[in-house]
Amino acid sequence: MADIQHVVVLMLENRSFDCMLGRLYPEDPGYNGLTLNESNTYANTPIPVWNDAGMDPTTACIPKPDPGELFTDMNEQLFGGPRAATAPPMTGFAANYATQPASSDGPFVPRNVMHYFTPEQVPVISTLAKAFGVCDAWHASAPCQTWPNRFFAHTGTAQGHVDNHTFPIPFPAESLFHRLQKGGRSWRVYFHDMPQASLLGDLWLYALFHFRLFSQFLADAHTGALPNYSFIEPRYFTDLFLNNIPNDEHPPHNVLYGEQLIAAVYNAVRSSPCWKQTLLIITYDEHGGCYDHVPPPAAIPPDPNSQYGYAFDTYGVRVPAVIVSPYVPPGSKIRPLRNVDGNLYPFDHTSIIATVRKLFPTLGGKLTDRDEKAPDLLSALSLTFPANDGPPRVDADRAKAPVSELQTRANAPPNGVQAALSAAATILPKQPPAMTNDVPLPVPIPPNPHATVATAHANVTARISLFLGQ
Amino acid sequence: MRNIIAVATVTLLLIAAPLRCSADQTPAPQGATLAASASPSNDKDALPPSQQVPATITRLLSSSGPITGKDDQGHPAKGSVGLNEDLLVQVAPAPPYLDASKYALFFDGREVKGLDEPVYDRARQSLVFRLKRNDKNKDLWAALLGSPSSDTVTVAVSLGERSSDPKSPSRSSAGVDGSDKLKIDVLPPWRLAIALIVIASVVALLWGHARHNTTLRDNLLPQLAPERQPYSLARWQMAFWFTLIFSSFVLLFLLLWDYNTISPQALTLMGISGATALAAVGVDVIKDSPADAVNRGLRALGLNSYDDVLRVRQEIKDREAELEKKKKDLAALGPPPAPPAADPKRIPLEARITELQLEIQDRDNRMSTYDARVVPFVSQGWFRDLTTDLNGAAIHRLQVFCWTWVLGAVFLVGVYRDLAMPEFSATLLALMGISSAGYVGFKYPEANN
Repeated sequence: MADIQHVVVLMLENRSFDCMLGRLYPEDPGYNGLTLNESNTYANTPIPVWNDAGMDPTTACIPKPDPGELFTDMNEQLFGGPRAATAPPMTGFAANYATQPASSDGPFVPRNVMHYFTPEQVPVISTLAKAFGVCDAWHASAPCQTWPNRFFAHTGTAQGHVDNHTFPIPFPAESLFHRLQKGGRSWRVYFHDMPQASLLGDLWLYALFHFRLFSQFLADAHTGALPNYSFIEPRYFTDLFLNNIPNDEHPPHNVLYGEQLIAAVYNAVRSSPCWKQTLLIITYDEHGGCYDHVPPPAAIPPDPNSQYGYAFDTYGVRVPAVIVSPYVPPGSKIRPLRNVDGNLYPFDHTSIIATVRKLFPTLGGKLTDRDEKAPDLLSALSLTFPANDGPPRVDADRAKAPVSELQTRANAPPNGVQAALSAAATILPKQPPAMTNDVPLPVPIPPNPHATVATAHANVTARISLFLGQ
Repeated sequence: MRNIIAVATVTLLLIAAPLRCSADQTPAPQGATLAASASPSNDKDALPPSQQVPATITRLLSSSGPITGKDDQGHPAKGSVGLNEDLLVQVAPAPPYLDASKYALFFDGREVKGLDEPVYDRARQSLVFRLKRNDKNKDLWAALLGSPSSDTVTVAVSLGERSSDPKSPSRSSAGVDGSDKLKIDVLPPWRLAIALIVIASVVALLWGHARHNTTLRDNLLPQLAPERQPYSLARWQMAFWFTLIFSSFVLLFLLLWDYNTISPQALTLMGISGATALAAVGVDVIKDSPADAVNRGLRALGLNSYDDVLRVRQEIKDREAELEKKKKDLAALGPPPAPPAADPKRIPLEARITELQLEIQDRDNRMSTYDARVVPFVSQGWFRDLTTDLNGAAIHRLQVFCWTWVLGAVFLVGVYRDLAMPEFSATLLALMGISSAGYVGFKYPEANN
């Protein structure tokens, strides 16, 4: 087995596989990408997938406005109507987008969600996907919003919550971080503005020691001090004070800033003394309303919980997943192996948990039924020796957000994840919890009172600073 | 702020020092009669033979009476004359007619050139000279009145033959009579008082008032209270030269009654400081600096000005007061009923309490963001503001600061010594210009950091 001592996960926001990597290997019939024959129909008009040539800021922000991403939206996108028991035909993306409530970001032009980027337009993730491996069968864990899927990545379940605002905070499920802590393994959550992982109840007692700004990740990588498990969260909010624009790639945020983040993470890992023992997973939490042509298959429910009749028994839409390690052969198309129960399960976010549990056996058994069955990534680490060093570094477009873009984004209404994070931040303790304390009981998150990203960001940074004592 | 006051005080004292010294001097001995010429020349042959040539200066008078010798009651005369006053030189023997235009006035053996032709006052048997300062005699006046140590200076007075040839010097001719000399006013007390009042008013207005407004401070973040804004090097330099030049001008005017005392070099210095301030403002305007980013961030939070900051703080206080009242009202209703029963009176109170808590939290968060973000832009004190930037000590600022002080001191010494604004060499002015240009040049990347 590959000698992996450091697992680094970078989870971005709301892009489907076809949107980002659908045209990575257009000539390879074995690669499950776009053939350009895919389409949706809206108002009796076929709307095929398309690409806007070039990469100006307008193109880099497609789809704009932000598509719908509530559970009901996703059902419409997948089924073209209400949720059904049959396999989803993936025909309702354009129609769902066209019927969204009005937005200050402009009209909902149906074809926007059918847009894909070429490898030349997103060279960083494409280069890494080709230099190492890409999974064309990695699904979001559920056809749900950000929080359910991120909680799946951390705990293997969403405990029956399909939308962000329905979660009680702190989220009471046991997390992979808790297992790492108990198993004597080091871990850190690196974040930019607010770590969504801070809403995990079993991390509150450790928050003071394990949450660090992203700049610390770069330092840790440089000095060879990477922990066994690193989870990196992108910048969700516009920060006018420091001229920082979100780099989470959440529509309509510019994907070039996400490319810059991916490049920074890869370059740090690649030049780290830890490189030869590192596995880097770059993925996205959910498709965010962007079109993908592969119907999500049936999934193992993680627990008995359900909401709106959905028992978490299907996966969500495919999302990009790039696997980087010197043990991964260049050009790999990584597919899951058949489970010991004889079934073939696709990769999903619980594959991260499964992989880490396999790499560090002291972490113990499953967190939920989902991660128990989830395929791990060890099969992708097929080189006997860490021989694939890949490119020494990758360089992203150095585009900086102009002031006008910063102001536009800061004065816009918060998107789903921003609103939910801001509302949840009000529940965070106002000082670092003592490790001897009991974690408080979960409470419903209050409505988000902030009309703009700027005020939501102020709320988040103020509360997270108190919570982490920084 | 204490630094500002100190600078203002030092500046004022430096300027006022010579005046105070002059005023503190003990008055000259009374009963002076007249004057003695230091000149050995007594060439009476140069006068027309038809005139009776005065041989002796008997007394000196001002327009109000004798100032040397005896007065009309036979008492020793006392007094002095100043610039722009008449000096009457009483001569003996007193001819009925005297061609006064042929006479020149000498102080300490040096001709006072550039005076209007004297007239002969037959009644008082005196030649009347109007003491004026102009380009022809300013060196003499500077030698007489410069570096003063008392409120008057004493000179020996003599008369001489005015040369008709501008290239040929006049010759001193009057004889010596007595040992007392003429006292010339340096700066009379009333003029000194006016000067001090005017200068002190301007200094107080500019430097004292600057503590509470943005006259000498940057105003990059309008959300900061004026007294928390950092001091601006460019504005300080501009105010520094303005104060020196203005004070010097006032003093020289009251001393010399000359309003043409501002030298081209002084104008250049004011120009350099003004251009520096203007360029600094230009850099601030065209460059997207960290302060601009913070300004944008605060505006996005609804904090456009310091008034908004005060308003939000007041809103927090008001809501906290209302929250306390609502909590008391709720407590007065007694314990809540066991679920699922609900007390209809409690529902609106509880809803309002939740609403108030969220509103207070929202405003608290905005204020904590405000407090955290403005820290790098709050004044750290006069000296640190002028000599440091966001990255710490800045050599380009320190350079301007030091050279401004050095040239300012040289300027003051020049005014005191020469009774004129100094004429700096082109090299010195270039030094100041280069220093200021360097500051502006470095300010560009400074604003970007």
